[in-house]
Amino acid sequence: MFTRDLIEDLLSKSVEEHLHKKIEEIEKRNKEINAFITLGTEEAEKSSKEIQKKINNGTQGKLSGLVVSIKDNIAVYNTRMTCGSKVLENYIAPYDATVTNLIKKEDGIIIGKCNMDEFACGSDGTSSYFGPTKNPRNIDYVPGGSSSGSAASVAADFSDLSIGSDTGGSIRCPASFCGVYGFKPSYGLVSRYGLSDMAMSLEGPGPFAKDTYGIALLLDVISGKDPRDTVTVQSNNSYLKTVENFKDGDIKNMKIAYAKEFFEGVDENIKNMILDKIGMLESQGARIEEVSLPNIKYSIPIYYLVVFSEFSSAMSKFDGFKYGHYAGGQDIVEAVSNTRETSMGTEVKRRVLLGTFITMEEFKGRWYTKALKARSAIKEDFKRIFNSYDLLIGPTMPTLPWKIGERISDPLAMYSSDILTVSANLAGICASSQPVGEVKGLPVGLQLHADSLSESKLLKGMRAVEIACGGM
Amino acid sequence: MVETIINDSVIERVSEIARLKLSDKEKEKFREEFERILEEFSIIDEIKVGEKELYYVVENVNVLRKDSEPKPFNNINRIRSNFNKIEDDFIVVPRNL
Repeated sequence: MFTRDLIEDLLSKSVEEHLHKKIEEIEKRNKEINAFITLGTEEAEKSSKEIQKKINNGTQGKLSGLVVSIKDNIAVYNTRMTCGSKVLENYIAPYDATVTNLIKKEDGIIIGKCNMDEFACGSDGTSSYFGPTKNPRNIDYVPGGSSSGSAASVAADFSDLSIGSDTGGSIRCPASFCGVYGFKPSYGLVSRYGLSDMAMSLEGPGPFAKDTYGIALLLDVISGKDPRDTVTVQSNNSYLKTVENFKDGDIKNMKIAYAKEFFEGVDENIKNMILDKIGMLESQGARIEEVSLPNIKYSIPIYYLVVFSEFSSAMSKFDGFKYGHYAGGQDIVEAVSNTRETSMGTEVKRRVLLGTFITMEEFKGRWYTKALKARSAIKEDFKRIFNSYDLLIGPTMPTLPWKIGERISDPLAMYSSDILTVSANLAGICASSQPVGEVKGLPVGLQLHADSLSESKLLKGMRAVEIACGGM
Repeated sequence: MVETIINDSVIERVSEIARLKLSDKEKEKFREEFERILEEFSIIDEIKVGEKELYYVVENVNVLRKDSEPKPFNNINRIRSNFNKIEDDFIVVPRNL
């Protein structure tokens, strides 16, 4: 296992040298890829020295000097946090997010803050105020979003691990497009304290890595109850053990469903590759059956109606007085309106306005309330499946990465690319994406879903797929 | 069908409530887009929905803390240093008529 071997290497060789290799890579290629908004090289060097001392004494934490990057909507103390927006161009975080704190405690080295779609409003990583992130596999193509820099930094070897956030695919989509592992935990498993979220009922932080081992390791570190986020639940914190103890024969006990709705409108090459992997799992003894998820075709409108509403409400705090960009004006109302006009990007404005519209008294019942009622239907669909199956398998994205600039002007085309990922967030369940091959030189991601708080099942499934694809 | 026709005065009101100034060009662009988006989204009418509105997927949403005096944040100066304009302990804002 790649990440396990890397840790063994770090324990016998030098953490500082390992960090310097990362910094060298960043200096060589980040200008082109634009994975970072803010780099924390100095601070990283300081902590690498401290961690090296701990390793020499045998007192190091679980991450043992692995280099971690963090999406720029998650707070790192005394470090700029922009959310990819001009709105927060100069905002300095006054505290550590819970996930940041936990990573520091377990001796991860934080190398920098990752580029992202502005306030996570985007599916391809091109809407950041700080310029688009480019796909390290081929810089003419988008890296996927909104956690674009997180996926790109792992794919480009700028970091060993990364933390992103997933509202409707924002971890899984870039993981798929950049050819790395991405994991969206069940709602409530990972604390959102210190996360500036796009939609509070859908979003949570989650890990990126180069293999299942890395995902499980980071999940052990960041999951669990946090008094500062009341929706959090206890974690068993033994995900790594689950992955380490997995044996080839364990696949025989797995009941895996696939739904035809998850293959409709999917690129033929992607479809065939995923079906091929499903066939491999079946030949190794997994029980595979076809099921139906009739409401998935409604998931895009339900999801976006909820996002618009929650996002426009969350954005109302950005008035320019307490922090962030400020434009000024004759009176309070004008000052706020000017500030927001001159600092928000097009997609952010679109969502703020639509969210305001669909929650106005006279339109609320027609749109927002109806979406909330329909959300129950999606949750019920999954509940039915997971009563009989351990996992649901399919592709992560309906298409290959597209060329930079191709979809930016058509919001509906951009929204439609989320069709296979948003329903996991609507239902609050866990889901993953992992690379299983390439089409035309671009990576293809396989998506697994498991029931809420069934992370162990999901990780076992990921490991089975990893082994089936020839991973060590 | 979208029975909600989004006319200029609706866009005007939305822009006001959202505290987001829009140019005439933006108003027209968004008005046209919103009609197209909501037209497509109106397929949710096909779903048979119950009465339950699902705001949260978890049960433990409104957890109350003990009613004791909360500890103040330990680094108030770091918060304050993000303020754009302060006088003594107050944030300076324009006149509110």
